[in-house]
Amino acid sequence: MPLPKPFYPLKTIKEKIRSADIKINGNALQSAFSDFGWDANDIAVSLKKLNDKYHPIDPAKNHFYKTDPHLSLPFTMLDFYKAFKLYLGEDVYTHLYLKHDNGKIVVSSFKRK
Amino acid sequence: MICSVCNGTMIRLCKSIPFESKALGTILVPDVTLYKCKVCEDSLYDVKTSQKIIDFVRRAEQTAISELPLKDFVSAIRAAEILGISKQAFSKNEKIKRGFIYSATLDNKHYYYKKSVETFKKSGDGRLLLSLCFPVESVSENALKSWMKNVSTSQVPKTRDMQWLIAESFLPEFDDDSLIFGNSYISERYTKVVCASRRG
Repeated sequence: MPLPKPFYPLKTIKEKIRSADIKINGNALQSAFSDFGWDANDIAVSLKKLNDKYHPIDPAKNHFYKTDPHLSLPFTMLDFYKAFKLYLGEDVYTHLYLKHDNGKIVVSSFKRK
Repeated sequence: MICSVCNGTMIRLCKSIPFESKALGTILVPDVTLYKCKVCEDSLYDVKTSQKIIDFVRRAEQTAISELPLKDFVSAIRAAEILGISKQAFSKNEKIKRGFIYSATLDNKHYYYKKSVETFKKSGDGRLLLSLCFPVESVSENALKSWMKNVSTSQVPKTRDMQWLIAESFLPEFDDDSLIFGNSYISERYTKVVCASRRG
């Protein structure tokens, strides 16, 4: 059975974040601020801390959760992450995707796990 | 750009946007550049804009916190005692550092809002709605001005005098029609309060 892997390699995601090719959905920004008191820089830093290493023995250590097709955008996949103690001791649930038309990462959700 | 929620078209805009603050309710952030969907109104911001929004909200919250009476604040040592933790654990707590307990600085010393400390002890989040902390009748003019800068739908004034003051503050900028139809950010409830008080 193949190991679960995100559709968008984290290396690409992190490069996009470093080059500020990232858009944050209004609701994601709102919930990051409400749930954690975080701003956009905190979101970017925490996303850079994600890893896709697979821990079969202790699944709680896995950050990557699943990949699903986007419900509205055709030919677009969403990567879901559920990370325990990701940044500043917070458990984060997020999903993101890469936009085909402009090559930017879109953080469509970012909240407490 | 295509909307990821409804597949509609997203357009680039520069406008004031409502943002939910636990301290102030819904506040307006001015001059925000965003991509907004024409159909479902979903919005996207870049990192710089997102940062600008949060900075504005934090500043507005801090202004409101600094208007609270000083007697309601306690020192860090007292706050740590209330929470039942050491002073060191208190000052190292990431949530407290991030404003989960309201604080103000005076002479380079941090003071913590007692109600907020108590709420933090109960729920782990001391960010309570500040309108509940102001006795409405005794709001100072400065507090009112600060409130006016960040029109909050959840903070509808209770006394008739305050309604008048707020209505008059709006007079130079808005007429009745624009209040009712033109400014979607002013809630229907708030608009009614303002209009009712203007009619006397």
